[in-house]
Amino acid sequence: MAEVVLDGQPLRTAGEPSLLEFLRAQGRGPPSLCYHPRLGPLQTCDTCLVVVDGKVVRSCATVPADGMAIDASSPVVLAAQRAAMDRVLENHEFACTICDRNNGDCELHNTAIRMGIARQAFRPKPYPIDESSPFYRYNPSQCILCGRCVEACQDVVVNEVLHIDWNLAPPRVVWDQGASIDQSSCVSCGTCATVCPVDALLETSMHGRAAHFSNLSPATRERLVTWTKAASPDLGPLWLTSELEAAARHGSIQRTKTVCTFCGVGCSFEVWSRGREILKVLPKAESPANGIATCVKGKFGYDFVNSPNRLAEPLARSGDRFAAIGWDAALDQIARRFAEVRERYGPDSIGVIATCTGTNEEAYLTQKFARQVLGTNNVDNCARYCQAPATTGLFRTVGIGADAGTMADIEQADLIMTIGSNAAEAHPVLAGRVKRAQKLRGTKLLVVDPRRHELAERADLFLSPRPGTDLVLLNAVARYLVDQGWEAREFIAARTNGFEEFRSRLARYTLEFAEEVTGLPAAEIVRMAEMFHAARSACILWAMGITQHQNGSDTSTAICNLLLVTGNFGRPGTGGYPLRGHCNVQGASDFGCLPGFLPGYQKIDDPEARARVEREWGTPLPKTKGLTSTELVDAILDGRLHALYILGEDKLLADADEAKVARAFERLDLLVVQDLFLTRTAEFADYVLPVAASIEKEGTFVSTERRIQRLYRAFPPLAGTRTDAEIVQALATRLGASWHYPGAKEVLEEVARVTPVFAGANFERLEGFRSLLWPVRPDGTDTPTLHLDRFNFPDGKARFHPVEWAEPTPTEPEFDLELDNGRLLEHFHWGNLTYENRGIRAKVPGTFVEVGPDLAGARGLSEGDRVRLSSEVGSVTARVHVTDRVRGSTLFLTLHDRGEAAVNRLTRDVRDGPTTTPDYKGTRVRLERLESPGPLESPVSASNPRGKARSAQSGVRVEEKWARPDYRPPGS
Amino acid sequence: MARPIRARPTVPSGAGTTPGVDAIASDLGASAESIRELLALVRLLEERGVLRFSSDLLRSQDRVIEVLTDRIDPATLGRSLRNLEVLLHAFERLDPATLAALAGGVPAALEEARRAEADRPMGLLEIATTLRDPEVNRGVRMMLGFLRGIGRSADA
Repeated sequence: MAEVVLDGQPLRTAGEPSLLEFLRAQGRGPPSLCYHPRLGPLQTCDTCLVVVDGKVVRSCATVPADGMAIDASSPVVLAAQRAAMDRVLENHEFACTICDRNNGDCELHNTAIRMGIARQAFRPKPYPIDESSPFYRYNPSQCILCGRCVEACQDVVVNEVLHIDWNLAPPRVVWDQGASIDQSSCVSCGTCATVCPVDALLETSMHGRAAHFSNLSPATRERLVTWTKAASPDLGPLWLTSELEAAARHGSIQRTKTVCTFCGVGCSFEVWSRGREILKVLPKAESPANGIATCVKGKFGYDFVNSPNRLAEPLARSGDRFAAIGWDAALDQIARRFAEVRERYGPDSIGVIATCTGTNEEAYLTQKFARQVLGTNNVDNCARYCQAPATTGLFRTVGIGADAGTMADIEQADLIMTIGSNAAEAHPVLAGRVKRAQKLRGTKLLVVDPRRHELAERADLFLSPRPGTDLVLLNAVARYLVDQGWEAREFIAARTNGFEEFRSRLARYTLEFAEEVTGLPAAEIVRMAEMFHAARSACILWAMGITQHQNGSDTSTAICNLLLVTGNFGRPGTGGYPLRGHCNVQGASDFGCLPGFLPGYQKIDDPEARARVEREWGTPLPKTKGLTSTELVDAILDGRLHALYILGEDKLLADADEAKVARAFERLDLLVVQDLFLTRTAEFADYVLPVAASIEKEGTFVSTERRIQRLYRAFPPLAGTRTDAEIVQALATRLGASWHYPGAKEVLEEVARVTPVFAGANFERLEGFRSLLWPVRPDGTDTPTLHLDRFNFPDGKARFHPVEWAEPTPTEPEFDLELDNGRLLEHFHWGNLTYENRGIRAKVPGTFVEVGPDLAGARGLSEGDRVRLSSEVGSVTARVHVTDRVRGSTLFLTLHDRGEAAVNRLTRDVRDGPTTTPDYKGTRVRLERLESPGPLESPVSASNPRGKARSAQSGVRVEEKWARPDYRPPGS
Repeated sequence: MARPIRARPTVPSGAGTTPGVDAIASDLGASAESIRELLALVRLLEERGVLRFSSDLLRSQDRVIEVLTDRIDPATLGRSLRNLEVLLHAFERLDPATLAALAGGVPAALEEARRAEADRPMGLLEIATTLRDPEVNRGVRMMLGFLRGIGRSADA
């Protein structure tokens, strides 16, 4: 806080980071065009000028200090601001009534009106509009060169594509070294368009669609603008008509806050829609997880909502075809058949798979349906395929199976380690914050992965141990640290139990042993240990590369042990972070869709929790622990399970060993599937029920940070579809339950009554962009960082949990290659949603297998070759992409295929012991080159950003602008 | 043995309608009165030729703009717009109460003017006598004040 004098009045600041923020807080904000709260001062526009102690300064870049005398309103100040604004206006031609950005939030338009601007001296730029990208366009002639897009690209999402070439005459924004947008390294995250204060960078979905009269041919537009300017050089009439036009648009354009439907990072944003037409996705500065950032899927990937391929009527199997059937008939028949199966074989002959893309409230109702209505604990969700082993590791050691903190903790760590995670593609917005920490704060980045993906390229240390040996590496590092006396002694003594046994169990993990098993040189293992030793705080992020192994739970535990031995739990900037892959996979588990847990991870055999739930529900709970999602398949095949109810899960493609799952589905007496599309799983169903998409629903999600956020309904569900909640309730009613939930709000209130960790969660506290991180106390206090005072065990201390490495189940020697597999940035899982997007299809039309140059050379493979990959259980065909992202005998197959290249035709149904999560990443295959019918074509589209060099720089380089001969300094 | 079915049904259910059509039919029923009113308006617009004209204008949007911009002299329109703006600013400064009083007197003045038009021509003495009429005298004073104000503005 500082004592200042503002226009003669003594005032005290409230810790604002800049004079601009202070003046805004006083309601005296000077104009500002380049400033954005999530970007900080860029100093390119010079409109926020004030006089401090007699000198003209930019208020955005001036920190308030004691004794400052600030002149913010004298004629000198106003004249300086006006001169700067006039120079900005040379770059942008006002044509607001036909502008798609004229929605009341165009910052240039609003600033010009506020400053009483009546004339402009526009100078057209000699550059064409770049419309090459399917997602957004750049119009240099409307660009005010504020540099927000560059700052966002370079230093917020750190994709490092855009810069302003200040040496051009006139300057303009440039992609890489002058490529068109579509041929550049741009990953189409759209953040540049989000922060553009004008219409220079505009979402294609807005172009020609937002304004009433913007869909004009360029010639007509030019004629109209020229004519209007000749008719009235004074801008007054334009302000009037454009304000009226913007006001009229508000009648038809709706802005609705929602949470992204793809990965688990929890990006929130407004969806702008007109009727069912989606005009754009707009993240806001106040979006708690992502701020202004998005990825290509979140920003541009919602076309699926209006796809003609969406299911819009219930289907019933009739011989060898599906017949459309009305809702009442479908629900009546399904309820009757569930009752028949239960009557004949008992309640545990039925299984329920909850959706990870539905809301928390729907997850709660789904598990309640299984437990209260059907009478079984056979309820699970897709966390079984991914992060269940991570949860186990965290439960064993720190007592809560969720991320230890938030992305703010990750950002403030000295050391960030990612292991078995390709976050830049699978969790791109979170990865952006990791990259930003490294770039701006100098945070050290340590990456352990078989592939040289983007984070690996950026890493200070990149280690690539043999697949399945990460546990050995982690234990060896722990042992080396202890051997050096570098363990966090005070932390271990004060806050943990079991260290001595842990230390003794590390004896086997010498550097020599680790070198032999992992294939890594001892020096690299030592270097990794030294990085932990040097860091005051460290976070470890992990994903499927760890959990989808036979030892997924134990390797996750080894990660937690390493964090404990280095004292990296229970402080800001520390902790373990399994990264969640679906928008609400965290919530589906948190809200009780697990066979061994009631909502809030209350054990199914905890008498207190059972009593609480039974009291609320008025019925006894089933006692036996249920089957996991993978065990349900076994139970079908051995005759124990007869009916399966699958909500929003393409289980045929998601489980390991597709052929086995298909055999199981064929044996079921009753399979009910509800989904947006006729998925491969739905093809086996007796009944297929069409459901609403998340942006058509009200409710809440929980993100990977444990962050609970509300989503609002942008428009009603597609005609003929219903929400998962409506369907589950309708079935429950037909099966005798008396549920009365007017909406999601009332469901969450019930959850709060039976679940201590959600005690204080309610819709009011989650209004708009507000969020809560569980546990939430009854008074609404939430918990951004866990374990600060105690760990979740009776004595409050964390527990070392020693784990041993075992050789993976061997395969026949003929399967000589390791098959890594995973996501690409642009697609989501089997592509049921993302292949519906024209732009994404153009960037990534299909799947491919990555082969390293050495292996390609040895096997005579070229880019585009067709190959067959065969494992012990099946085979696929795919096209080859030769890349140095993989090396040696490792291949990488993207998992975005529903047919001939579906990865789970290859994966074995070998599982992690404690969780039954499949060992997807331990797959070994044989490769055969196939004859290609035509000329070889790369499976990677020419417009794909992969392999194109990024153009990193720090910020917008405003100094280069200031060095231009035509630059006039502030106040001159 | 439930074999996978790849094809979606080609024949819609429910008496040849899809659920989407059902929903629209339901909406139609709920808004029957409004829709009848709307149809009456549409018929009227059609009868008067407005409907076709509007559609044609929209279909020929680019051409229409071209004609407008060719035929309307921007300079003339600009002057008109600026004059309109000047008038609006002048109106901004008027006291609504005074303007209301003046405007309120206009009908009576017009009536008097109509009556006076039927009278025989007036001589100078009669004009002077009429000026002593308090209502006429007040009107003349107001006119003179109005002229003084105009003159002062012209000097400025």
